[in-house]
Amino acid sequence: MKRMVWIFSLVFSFTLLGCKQDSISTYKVPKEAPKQFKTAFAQDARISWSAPDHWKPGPASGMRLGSYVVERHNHTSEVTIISLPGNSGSLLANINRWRGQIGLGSITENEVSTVTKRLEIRGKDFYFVTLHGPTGSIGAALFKHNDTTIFVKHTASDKHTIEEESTTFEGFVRGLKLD
Amino acid sequence: MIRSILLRLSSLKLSVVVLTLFLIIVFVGTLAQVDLGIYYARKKYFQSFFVFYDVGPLSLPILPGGYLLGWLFSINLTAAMLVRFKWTKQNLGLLITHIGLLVLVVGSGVSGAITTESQMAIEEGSTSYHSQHLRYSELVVVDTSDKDHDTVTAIPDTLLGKETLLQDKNLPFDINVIRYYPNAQLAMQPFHVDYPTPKISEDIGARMYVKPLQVFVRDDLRNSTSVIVELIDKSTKASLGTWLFSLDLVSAQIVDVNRKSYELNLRPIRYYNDYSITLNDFSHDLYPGTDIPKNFSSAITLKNSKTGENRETLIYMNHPLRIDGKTYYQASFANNNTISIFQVVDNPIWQLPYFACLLITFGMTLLFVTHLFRFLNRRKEQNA
Repeated sequence: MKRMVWIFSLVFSFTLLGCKQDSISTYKVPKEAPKQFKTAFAQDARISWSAPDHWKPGPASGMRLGSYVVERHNHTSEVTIISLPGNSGSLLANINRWRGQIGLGSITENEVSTVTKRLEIRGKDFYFVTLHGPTGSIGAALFKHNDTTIFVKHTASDKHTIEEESTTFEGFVRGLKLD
Repeated sequence: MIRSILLRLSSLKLSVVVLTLFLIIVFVGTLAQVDLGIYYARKKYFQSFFVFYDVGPLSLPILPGGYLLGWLFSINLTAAMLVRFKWTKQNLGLLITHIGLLVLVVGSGVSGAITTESQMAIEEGSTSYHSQHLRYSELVVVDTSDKDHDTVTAIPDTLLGKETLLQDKNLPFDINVIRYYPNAQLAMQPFHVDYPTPKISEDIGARMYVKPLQVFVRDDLRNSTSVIVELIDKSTKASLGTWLFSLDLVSAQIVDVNRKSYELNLRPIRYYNDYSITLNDFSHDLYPGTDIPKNFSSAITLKNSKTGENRETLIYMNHPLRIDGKTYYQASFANNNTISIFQVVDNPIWQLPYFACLLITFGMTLLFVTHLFRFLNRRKEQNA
């Protein structure tokens, strides 16, 4: 009888304890190979692409689904693909944020159309924005996809790089595969 | 005294009530999966002592949970075996059947408590040493200075949720958890400032705001667990800044302490193995001329440097891989059939239900044979 009670108490304590650890643990693991595919956030965004040959892959970090280094005439610029949940601010707010990054002041709602081009691509509204400021230039595209907003942004230190790459950039954005 | 208590506990009425309540919670718990998803419905109805229902500000126990019923049933059955059963050769079959039933009920309770389920997603050509939990997350501090391995110090979300100061001898700094969000939405500042976010001073978090969200319970929705912490130098007690970590921030953030760099990241809880699995090929076969799936299969290579094991095998529907107490089921796929997803079930006592069913079958067969012989003998005596 005593043994029976003992066994029952042991099993009972198991059911109470459950399986979740709630202590800090330290362990050694083999070094990981760099990730070849997007992690959960990128999977949620469900987006893939093929980049032009002269765009060299850069690191994906933070909320970046991908990034590229573009080298042209000894000038280096960067293209990033970023996904943010929800609306992530109005078009005007994003434009003003980018303007701030290249040393420009804010604009009003009425002036948005002067720096923005709206294109309908496969039934979605894509907004292309071009900005040139004293500290750099930005060519960007943003659109909504699967409850996220996708930002593709080309940042350069000079106006010419953005202008020379603008066709390639737009082609890249148009070629994005959206699931 | 003990006998009278056992007699009461062995009551057949109690068995009937418990079995009826079992039926009710199985019915209600199954229906609840529509709204709660499988994970939370199982926790609420089957892996609990009471099922609570919110009435206004009160949370009232309205039904016994699976654990309580399992215990009542086990105690009832054990008591019946001790005081009601006649321990004779003729009753051996009955006794074995009841022991089998007891093993089944207790075993399912224990396995519910100790089983962990996780997923392993591997792309074709890549290798994985770990699977990860779909619901729970951990803040990891990774020392990558060694060229062969990384040293990981992991803090589970259950500790982060206490929003307190965390100290550990293996951590290079103390961590003061300022705010823990079981689910949140991140966005770039300066938008949506109507949600007050504690000030974040470092890295990408400094440009973000965090909006708390209700926890998603449905199986197809993922919670974006996030945490804001202040890192504190152990010796000088100086602040190393306030940081935001989130499941939505894919990459690790680098923290420099005493001329050494550490990678910090919030990620789903990982379960590491001694062996590695490499996905050689994933196949998604269809019936000819249709989109109806015929078979999903993953050709893998299993390597264990400790035991020297190195073999190729196939995981497909109804043909899982069992290794080291873990079972790998083909669960899903992604990215145009280039990523295979395995459901990994770690249940050290997975054989127990089979053993219990064998016992019950054996017991019932024995019972039938015993009765048959008794009947035949009686008939023989009558005819004689």
